[in-house]
This record gives sequence, C-alpha cells and structure tokens, in this order.
Amino acid sequence: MKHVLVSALFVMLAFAPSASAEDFTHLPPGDLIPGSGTGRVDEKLYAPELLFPIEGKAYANSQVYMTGGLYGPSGDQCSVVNFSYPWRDNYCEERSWDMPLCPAGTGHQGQDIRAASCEKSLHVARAAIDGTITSIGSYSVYLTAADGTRYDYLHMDNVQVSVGQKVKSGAELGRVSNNFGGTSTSVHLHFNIKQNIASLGSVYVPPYLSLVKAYEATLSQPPRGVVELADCDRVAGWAFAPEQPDAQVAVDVEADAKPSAAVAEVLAERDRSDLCQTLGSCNHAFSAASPLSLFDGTSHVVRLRAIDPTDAKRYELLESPSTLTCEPFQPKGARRRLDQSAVAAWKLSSFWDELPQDASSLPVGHTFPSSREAFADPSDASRLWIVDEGQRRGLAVGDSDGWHINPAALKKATDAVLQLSEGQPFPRRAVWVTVKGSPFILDEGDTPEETVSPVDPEPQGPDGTLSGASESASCALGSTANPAPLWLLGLSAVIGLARRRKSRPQSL
Amino acid sequence: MNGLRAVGFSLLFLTACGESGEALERLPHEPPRAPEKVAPKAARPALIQTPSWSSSIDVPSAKELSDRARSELAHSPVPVLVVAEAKLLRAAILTTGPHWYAVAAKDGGLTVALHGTRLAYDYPEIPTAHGRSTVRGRPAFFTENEGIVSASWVENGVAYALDLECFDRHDARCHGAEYLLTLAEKLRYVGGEGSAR
Ligand SMILES: [Zn+2]
Repeated sequence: MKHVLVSALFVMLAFAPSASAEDFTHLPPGDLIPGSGTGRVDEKLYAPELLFPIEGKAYANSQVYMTGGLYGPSGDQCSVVNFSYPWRDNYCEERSWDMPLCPAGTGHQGQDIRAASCEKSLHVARAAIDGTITSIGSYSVYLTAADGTRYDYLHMDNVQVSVGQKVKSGAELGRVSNNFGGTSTSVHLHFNIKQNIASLGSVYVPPYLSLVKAYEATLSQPPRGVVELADCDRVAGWAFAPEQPDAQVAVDVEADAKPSAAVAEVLAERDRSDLCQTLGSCNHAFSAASPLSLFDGTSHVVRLRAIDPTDAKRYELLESPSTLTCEPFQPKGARRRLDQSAVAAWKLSSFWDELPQDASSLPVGHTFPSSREAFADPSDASRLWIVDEGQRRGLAVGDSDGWHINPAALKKATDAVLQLSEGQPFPRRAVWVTVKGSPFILDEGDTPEETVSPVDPEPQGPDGTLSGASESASCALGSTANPAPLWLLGLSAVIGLARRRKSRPQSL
Repeated sequence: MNGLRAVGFSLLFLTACGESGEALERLPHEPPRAPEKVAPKAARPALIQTPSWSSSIDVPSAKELSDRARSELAHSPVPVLVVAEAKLLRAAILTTGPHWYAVAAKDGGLTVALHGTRLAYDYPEIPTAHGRSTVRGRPAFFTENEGIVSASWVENGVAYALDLECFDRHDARCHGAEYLLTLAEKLRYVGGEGSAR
C-alpha cells in the first residue's frame, strides 16, 4: 500500500519547521521608524488571500533605517536587533520617485522582510498565491495572480521557476538573498504588490497588513493531517492540531459536495507508533471501514477535513479528495433487529454503516445487543472480545474500525468475560440494512429465529421489538445440533471480497 | 491604437476563495502541502473593463515574436503591447491570465517586463491621481524601485506597466526615466483575443 509507505514522508512534510506564535508582535501599518518618512495608515488588505512569502520565521523591517543600514544605527546588518519582533512597516519610507499612495507622493514601494537568519540563499521564498511567473530578472521574480495583481520578489537567488510557469501558493520560487544587480544589499526579501487601482492604474499598494495577516496565519498552525488510504476497504490517515496536541481531532468526511452531501465524522484517536515521535503523542490516527452508504456502483468524491478544535474551522487533509467507486454487494446473513439505544451504543450511522440494498428476504436473527460490551484480550493484543447473547465473540483488532471501536480505549476482559463460552467470530464490520423502515445489523455468526419466516413481515411486540422464540434457547452456537447454515458461508465470502476490493482512489 | 476605446465596465465582487470548499489542486509531482492558507476573507469591489479592439496590428512586430508567443496572443483578454525592438521581440515570453497579459524579455543586460490588466480594484476612498510623466500620450507614473524603473499608465481602461531591470545596477538605463520612456515610445499593438473580431 503506497499510502502507508509514504506516510512517514507526509508526516515530515506536514511538519516542516515553522515559526512559533508565542512572541510575534507588530507595529501598526503606517508607523515608520521616526525620521524615515511618513507612512500610509491604511487598514485595507490589498491581498487578503496572501500566503506569507517566506518559509519559517521572518522579520519585516527597514533595511535602510535599522542597524547597519545606510541611515540606521551603526552596526552589523546581521545584528540580532534586526532579526527581532516587532515588525515595522517600511512602505512609503523616504525615497524619490512617484508613489501615489504615499502621503508624500513618493516613497519605498514595498516591504523589506528578513528571513529567520542573516544567512543568504538559505531561506525559501515561496509563492504567495496561485499564479504565473511573468518575469525573472537578474534579481527579481514576478508572480502574477489570476486577478492581475503582481507580486514582486527582489534580491532573489537560486530561482527555481521559469517564466510562464504556473505555480501553486507555497511553491518554492527561490531563496532569500542579497543580489542587487551585480552588487549586494543586505540579505532580505523586498516584496511588492503591484495592483491596478481604479482611480490610479497599476501602482504599488501597501503590502504590510496583508503580510501581517499572512504571517499570523502561518503561526496559527491549524490542524493538519493526511489521508493515507481511501478505497472500498477503508478510509484512514491521521490528523493533529498542533495548538492542542493532546486533543483528538475530529475529521469531517463529506461525500459529494452538494447541498444534500452526506457528512460524517471520524475521530483521529487511534494509536499508531509511527506518529509518536513526530507528533509527540501516538493517538492521532483515524481509520474507518469505508462508508457503506456509498456502495452503490457510482463514483463519489470524498473529502476529509480536520476540524480545528479551537474554532471548528475545517482544513482539508493532504491527499483529499478521493474518488470512491464501490460496487454494491448482496446482503447476506441473519438480520438482527437494532433498537435505538444500540445505534447510539455502537456509534452506528447510516453514512458509515448502512448498505443501500434490499435485505427483506434475509432471515431474522436475535436482537442485536443494545449495549456495547467490548474488551481487550489480556493475553492476545491482536484480538478483542465482544459479549453477545451470553457468549464472547472474537474480533480482530485490525477490524475494530469496522465497529467504530478504538482498541486502546477498551478495558481488558475480566475472568468473568473470559469464562463465557466462545461463540462464532463477530462480523468483521457493521452492515446495517433497513427493512420496512426498521434497522437491522447483519451477522454471519448469528442463527436465524426459526419461528420467523424470512419473507414475511416480522411480528412486532408492543415495544416494537421482535416477539417469538426464546433467544437464549436458539443461541447454542457451536452445538452440533445447530450447524452454521450455508448462507452464513456465503455472507462470509461476499464480505471478504468486498473488503479485499481495492478500487484504487483517483486523486483529483 | 488611438482607435481603441473603452466601452464599459462591469462591477462584480471578488471574494477570496473559501478554504472549506476548494480542492487542493496540485501540480503533478509537486509535494503535497499542509492546508495552511487561512488569510482573512474580504469582498473587494473589482471593475472589469471590456476593451475595444483595434484592427491595426503592427504586423512586422508580431512577425518577430516566437511561434509560441504568437499563439499565446489570442488568449490575451486585453490588447497586447510589446516593445518593438527585434531582439526583445524574439526573446519575448508572453503569458496571459483571465484578465491580463504579461510579456518578459531579456537582452543586453536588461530585463524588460510589460503587463496589462483589465481588472481594477475600486476603492472610493482612494482619490484619482495622474502621473507627471507621459507614455503614449497618457499621464504616467514613473517610479524607481530598488534599481528597477517602472512606468504605469491607463490606456483604454487597461492598466499597463512597463518595468526595466538592469543586470548591472550601475547601468545608466536603469537610472531615471529617460531610457524607459524611450522604450515606451516603441510600444506597438500586436493583438489579443479581441483583435480578430
Ligand atoms: Zn526594499
């Protein structure tokens, strides 16, 4: 499974070093260093979609009026004071030549930004927006967005793009350096936004506040994660909220983006040893048997988004969306009536568990347990026990996601549980069918009620539950007097096939 | 080119795309990234010009363009101006977007970038102003930006900008407006998607 093989790579990519939030401060737009000119006080975001153009920490401040600059205090341009917060605007800093948006009518056209350190050609300058590279000079790269706004990167080195290339926001354009037409300046990115303003034409607009917002967004570290597997067997991956590292992130699963879209959640709560070191804790994986409601032979676009535990915003996971095309399969087995309390106790949902197939002809079995009694096997970490009708039935830990069970959260089976007789293996996943408006769970290991005709409407007791033969009497599984009928074997084969069917998702 | 005439504006509101509904489209082989883009969303009033098109294409200049640049011409939503110097024309790389075109060329220690867009953001609080320079008979702003000299002007509602960068920052052509304005005098119209209409 390629997804599993590359998961470590995704973990590394998703956790590339980034700045930390705790100490970022900035002065307001237009507040220039005293004596360096008159800034433009402007709260407009001229580029609200901006991704911060440098990877990692960065320091926006003047190259001319800070330490080591032409008009700044004497010292080294690499002085720590230049690589410290707060940020300070230097758009409209004193220069010659037209700048119609500057109070003086002239001024500095953009914002100077130092990267995390003074080392040149090290820090990545990245695309601030999706766009096209429209010019590359000896030290400049121009990136033009769909709306015609141009983002200028000056003093660049190791340029990684070419003119005409389309780039996605975040793509590396080159490295922050000090190139300046055969000479050198301080190591920094001079960043301009050139935009067509209706009353002026193409002008350099104030970039400072857009940069502040973009930088804050990089610091906010939203939840992130990866969809490592999405096929007709499982939907699996991991999700993590760096700002709440102990929280289990809920992942929103949406099939087909339309108003009637089915949406469900799966909790990234499962232990996985490969996550421990990178994330600092192991229990951030999610895994669920693929949603049976989509097993209708048509293709469904499935999107997975991590839900930020802080503000409930959604962040699409890497490798999402996937397209699932899963063939329906004929339900087989005994259908066991499911009461409302069982739906909640077993965390069942029609999105994940309901197979859109007619199952009215199946025999009716015993009512499904209304409470979930699941236990870890104290001596076999690969097995769980489910207490059902006075028996213990085995379930492989690897199939626990088919029942929305997190094995790590289970108590160990007590002697009382282990002393129960061992029944048929528990079904490998929940398969919910609806017959005449009533929910049932299919069970290959359950025995049909002999008194109920498989095709007749089942008689109902006053409380809506099945009436009929004594269930305990007919539950003597393992008894030679009650051999597993052939249809049980049939169901086993069909479910096995469905689980092995790997209709490889196509990335969009 | 003087025959070109602006015929109208349409007003629309561009909204930053929401992070919740968009596919994270990726280029082939591009490493996937965490969805970290969460800039504030704001509706920004944008004007889109519908330019009128001249039939008087400068055929000799158009012929100097590479086949690739010529084929890209048809995708430009605004009239394409180029600097009519043979070497710059032959080196020109033309790119287009939904509302703009750009052309870039390097020659003799220079990088010449030209850009025209029909989409403008309309902020009523920003008063109208005109540059003190002149390009193609229109008022133009001239500015110098870390060794890059630029002129911008509006022609038939399309905002053009011409930028000149020198490989050697001491190159006199990138100091002051003189050489840039000389190049601007050589701008010629070579086509665009409306030129065949
Ligand atoms: Zn600068």
